[in-house]
Amino acid sequence: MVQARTEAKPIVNRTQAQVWLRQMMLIRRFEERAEMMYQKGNKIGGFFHQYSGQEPVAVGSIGVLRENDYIITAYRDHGHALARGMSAKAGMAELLGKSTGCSKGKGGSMHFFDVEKGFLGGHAIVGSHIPLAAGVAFASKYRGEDRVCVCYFGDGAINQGSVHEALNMAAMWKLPVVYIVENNLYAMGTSLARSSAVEDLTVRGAVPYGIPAYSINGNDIELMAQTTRDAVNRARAGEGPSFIDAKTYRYKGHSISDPGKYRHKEELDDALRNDPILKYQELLRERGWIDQEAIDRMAEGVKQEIEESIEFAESSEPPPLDALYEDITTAPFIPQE
Amino acid sequence: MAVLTFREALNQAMQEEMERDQNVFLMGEEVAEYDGAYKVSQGLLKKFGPRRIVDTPISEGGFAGIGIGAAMVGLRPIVEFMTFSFSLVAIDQIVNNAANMRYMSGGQFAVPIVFRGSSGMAGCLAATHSHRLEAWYAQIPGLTVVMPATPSDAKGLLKSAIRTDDPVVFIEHEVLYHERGEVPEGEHLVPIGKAEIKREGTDVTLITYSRSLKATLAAAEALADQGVQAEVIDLRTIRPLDLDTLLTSVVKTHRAVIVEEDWPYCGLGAGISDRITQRVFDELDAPIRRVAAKDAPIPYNKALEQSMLPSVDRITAAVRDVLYL
Amino acid sequence: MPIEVTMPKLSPTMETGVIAQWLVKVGDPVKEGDPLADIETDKATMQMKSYDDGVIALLDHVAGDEVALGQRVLVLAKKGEDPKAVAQAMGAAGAAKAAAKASSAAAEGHTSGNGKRPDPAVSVAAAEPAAVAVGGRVKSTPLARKIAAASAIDVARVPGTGPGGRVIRKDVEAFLAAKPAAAPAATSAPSSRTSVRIPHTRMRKTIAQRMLAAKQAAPEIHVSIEPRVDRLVAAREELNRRLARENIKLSLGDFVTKAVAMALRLHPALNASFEPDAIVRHGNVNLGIAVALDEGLIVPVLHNADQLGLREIRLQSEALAKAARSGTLTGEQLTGGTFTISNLGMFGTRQFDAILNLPEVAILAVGAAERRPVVEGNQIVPGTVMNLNLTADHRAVDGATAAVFLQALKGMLEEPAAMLL
Repeated sequence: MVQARTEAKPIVNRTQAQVWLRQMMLIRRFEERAEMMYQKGNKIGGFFHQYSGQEPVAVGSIGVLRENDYIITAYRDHGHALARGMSAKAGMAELLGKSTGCSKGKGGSMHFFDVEKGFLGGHAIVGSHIPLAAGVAFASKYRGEDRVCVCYFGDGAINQGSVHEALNMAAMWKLPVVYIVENNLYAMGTSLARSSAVEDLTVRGAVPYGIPAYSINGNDIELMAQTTRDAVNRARAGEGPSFIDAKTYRYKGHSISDPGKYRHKEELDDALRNDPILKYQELLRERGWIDQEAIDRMAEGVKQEIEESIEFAESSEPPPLDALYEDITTAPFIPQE
Repeated sequence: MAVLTFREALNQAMQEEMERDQNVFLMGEEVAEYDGAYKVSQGLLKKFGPRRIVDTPISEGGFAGIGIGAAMVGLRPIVEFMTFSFSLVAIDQIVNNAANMRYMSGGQFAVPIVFRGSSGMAGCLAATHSHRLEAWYAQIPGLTVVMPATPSDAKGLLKSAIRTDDPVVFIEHEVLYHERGEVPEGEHLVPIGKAEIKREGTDVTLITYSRSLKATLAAAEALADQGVQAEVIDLRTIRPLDLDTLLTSVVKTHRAVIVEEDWPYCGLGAGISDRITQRVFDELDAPIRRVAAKDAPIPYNKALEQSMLPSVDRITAAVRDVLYL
Repeated sequence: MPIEVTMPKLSPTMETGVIAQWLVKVGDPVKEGDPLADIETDKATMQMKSYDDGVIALLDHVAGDEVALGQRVLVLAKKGEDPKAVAQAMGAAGAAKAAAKASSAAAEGHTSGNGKRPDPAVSVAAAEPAAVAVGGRVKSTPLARKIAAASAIDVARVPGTGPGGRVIRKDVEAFLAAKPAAAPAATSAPSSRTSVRIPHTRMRKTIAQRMLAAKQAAPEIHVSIEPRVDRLVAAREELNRRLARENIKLSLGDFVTKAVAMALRLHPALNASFEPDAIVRHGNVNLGIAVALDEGLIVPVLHNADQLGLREIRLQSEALAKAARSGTLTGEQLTGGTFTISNLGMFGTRQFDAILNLPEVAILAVGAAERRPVVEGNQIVPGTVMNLNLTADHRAVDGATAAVFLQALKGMLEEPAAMLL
């Protein structure tokens, strides 16, 4: 089981560490309250995938990026968006389908976007965004820039053809892209063992294309950050893509309708005991970078922020009905009716 | 005015646009070292180098997606499918990512990309390599679909397509590549979304596009010998449809025949016919007729393939039918 | 040998028939007596029936085609014969036209199961599946309806020349061109009262041809008489009171019919036909009763009218008029007349001439019964009088013969009891 410990020396200063801890707590709280809004308030519809348990992967990796780098991910995208600095208000409003949402209520849970933050989306067709990431990196290289694209996907995506097409071209053209597999062991309800001939994903996703691979505990936030930094530096230096197999665990089912019966209770209990947020709090206390009182204050602040986001989302206007035809094309859109 | 082949006109359009805008680049199978499977990109590698003329492996889904990703952050890729038949393996990218991106992101991301390549029944290519997918793409809100029929339109429309900030599906026809025609030099832009009346007439409106324009014009000449003046409209842009031009003509002639290489059922003509009927039902003196490909996979045998195509005979028969002759 | 079925004679005067609707299609098995088609004759729409068993191999015509008597309309394959082979062997001449009409449909890929172009005979049925909507709604194009509506004409009045009788723009324009400028239908279109051109219907053609022929062939004389019908009116009221329970109401016309029938029995010279070499005095008294229709005129026949009571005359006349208006008169109801009565009394017409219904030798024009001053003794008193105007073919009937007949008729109408003699 994945352990959220770090043996490495601190790679961040105290302030940065506190920011990361708060981000992880914010993501956790966002998902808890969004689930409540979904189940209790019937305010959220459609597919809804929670990030709880995987927070260190997004926060640790995004935490080492520059402001002008790019991020693109799959449909379990709330955590990455918040880690990248999207406001909880814009995220919650999107879940409620409001015009103030990060995609004006047209994307929903699976399609968060924030052009200002270089957040190129949640993408809901498994594997479909992997080539996009290579394309973004292609543009960066084409222009001679040192901007990097970090692309997240789940362990299930490794079985899609487009992933391998993109990995091949990214490697061949030495594109500045970092691929991070959030290996939470389950592709929906199918475990890795039941879907992959070789369980080591680096063997499938990196070795064939000559891409340097890292297989790490993704729930160790500082290890995650350190590994990503290495990969990003490689990319900026023009040495091409890297492949990070970040082992993690999702607490909830695949989506809101999934009771998770395909895994043992002990497995989940074990993960919860090693909750990465609790472990990081513990570590920071040990380092003397934070005390319990500050953590409690932080938790209160996070709660407050999420409550405000709910308030904001609920009081926001839904998109007007004629927004149906807006944002389809840049040219004036002519409905072919 | 210079007389160019269709492929030279396309080549000229790409060359001029790449010279004009550093963000424009060409990517696809055999576009560079091979000089183009159909020689549309001939000479471009030499002129622009491998940074902007990019050979890809046989990974249509992959390089279509790479093009889209690059477009999302400001480049203006021209992605060549060796034939549009191969776009079928990239259709997820074209539909889910290129067409939807702007909408899903609430208008935050545009995808200024051109997917172009040959298509259609080009002779003995059989079922997998002869697809006509215009109706598939024309159905998708977010895509612009263009199908030129003449060298001049090929150049003017491709230049306009490259400058469009939305994804354009630019479908060429393989049998047209060697067609010659006068092509204006330099800044020749044909507007997207505008059909052109290629022949004026009063008795019946013939609506067509791409390769079928030729047979349709020939049919119009044959009909003229029989005293029937057919108006021939070349759609040029499939989506958005230039409905105004069609309606103006149909209101004048009261009859329409749609000529298409597409399959009949749910084919492009079905959608066009529906839109005309909705608007000007009371102007019609006969049901709209369609002359489409036969409803069968495309055979290898040349005579069988030929029998599927809209022919002068089939077009004139349909016209006589709507004229009650 | 396959059976070639030809256009039958379904009316005594028809020379051509129009196939209004096919009731069979190629491949259908038929038995003797099965209906094959509705045929529009000069008089009515009749069913054409099969005289044989077999399978329809070939239809030579499509609905709407006009076919001369005796010309082949279809081919029936007999038991043991392959209808397709029969169609191929016998199709050439007759099928040419049908094939031409079907060719565009065939070209559009109405292919049969074997992937070949359908043979022309088969595609007749395929190309014209709806045939003609007889008695149903009028088929017309949207544009035709729009023009018709703008000109305030009922598209149903416009003869259609499109597929299956569809009214197309050309038809409406032709109709408008032929329409008289002051036609009442145009009143709602004040801006421009256009003329309408109404192509001849088959009935109109027949009327024109037969009226002209009568005027040209027969030197006619007109003899009239004016019976006073006060007693007849009284008798009618009395009888109608009795018949009220049966919901029957006798008209004055019914009494005229009865009287004419009885008078003809007494004067057989008027119940006759003129033939080139002889005058045929008919044994039966079969009275043709002219019925006005919107589109013309038709004369169904009341057989053996002299043997019918007034009640029967009323019921049968009513049935005939109804059948005439719905176009369902049978051949028998249209043939065998020996004398014709034309009555315009219901329109208030006092007096008019009728034209002979050849080869009958006489026709009676009946005017309205009206109250007039009449001389009774030396006094002028109010009385009810009607005008009867007989047209007779002088080749067969002399003036005195006609006058004597009218005198007898007058006697019966003035003294209704005389009809009982």
